[in-house]
Amino acid sequence: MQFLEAKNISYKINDRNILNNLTFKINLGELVKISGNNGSGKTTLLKIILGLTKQTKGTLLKNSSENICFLGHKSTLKNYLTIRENMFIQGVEVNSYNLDLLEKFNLKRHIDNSVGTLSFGQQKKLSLIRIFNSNEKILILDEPFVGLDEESKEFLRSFIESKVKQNGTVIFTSHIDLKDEYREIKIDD
Amino acid sequence: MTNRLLFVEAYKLFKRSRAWIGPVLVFLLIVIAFPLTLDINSSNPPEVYLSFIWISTLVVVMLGTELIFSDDFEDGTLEQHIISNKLVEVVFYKILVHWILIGIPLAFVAFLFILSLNFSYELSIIALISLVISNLIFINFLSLGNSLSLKKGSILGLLITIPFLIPLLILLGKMTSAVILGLNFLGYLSLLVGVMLIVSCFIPFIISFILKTHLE
Repeated sequence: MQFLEAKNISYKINDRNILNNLTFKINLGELVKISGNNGSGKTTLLKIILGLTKQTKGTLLKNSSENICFLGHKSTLKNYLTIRENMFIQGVEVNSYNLDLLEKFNLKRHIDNSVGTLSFGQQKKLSLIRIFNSNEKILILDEPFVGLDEESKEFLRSFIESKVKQNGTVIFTSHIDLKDEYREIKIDD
Repeated sequence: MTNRLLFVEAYKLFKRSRAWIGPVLVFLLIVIAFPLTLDINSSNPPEVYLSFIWISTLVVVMLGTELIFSDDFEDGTLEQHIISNKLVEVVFYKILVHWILIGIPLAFVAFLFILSLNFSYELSIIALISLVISNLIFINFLSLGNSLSLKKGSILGLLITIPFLIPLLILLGKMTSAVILGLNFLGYLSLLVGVMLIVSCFIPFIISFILKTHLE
């Protein structure tokens, strides 16, 4: 079943073409990597798919009303709250699964510290916990591997691959390759 | 889900205590300082005190709503609300929570100040009711102002929205005069409630539209 179909999508800002006549289809249950150089419009394309930005030309048809879980460049974390409180406001339970994840990411000992005291990488790991707990079948991840150490990258890779095996749809932008097969949508400059 | 969103918004504001205790304390200091600047023997009419209260409430509410959207805008939370189609709901709850934690406490501090001035009990109660209602209207308009100037500092949007509040201040003045002169003030009060309902119903939609535009 098809998730979305994009026909001749273009995006222009201040007379500068970011996306040029992109045409592609994404099916449900597919693993799709959007690749391109820095500034080629990967994030813009994700924002168009999410409905956060409107393309200047072309059509985008979404055939699924499924909820989408999105991880962007911004952490959605509150610096003035602790890890535990951030998990609470994001609807993530502090149960044994998540405590294990915190332990794995070396964050458990900081659970009652404010997020403002954590490094970029630690904050990234914490935002990933929301993704690991999501029930949504469609995941859209913008540069999810940036700022992660090798062990965490490996964990995220296996999470993405298992999500797709469970018939989930994952669309991501990255400079990192996965072991499993994925389809690539290349954006040219 | 609805109750959870409301609770989360309340929790976030409650934990950022400076954002709601600060304005209430500033207001308290203003109402303590104001009588000290007046000649103790002069008999200023109640209208002077009430006008002062409304203007200072407006300024303090401005202070309290300054960060209403900026935090969620900067950390990407607003994007998440747009994706989950919950932005209007969240905007409504944010305004409601700011009213509960800032607007209503301010009205009660003002009420205590008015009581200390030995005005009639009726006038004090009417002032309390009008403050509770007008603070919700202030918060709605000032949130609209803050949403307009989200990327440009808070002043620009406020300069655009504050003129819309001048008719409200005139209405509050007229209502006070009616109470003092013993005239029927219910018409003014009904108008105030009507404005509150209209503003509370429509402004969250306008704000959501503006926030979406900022995120495009």
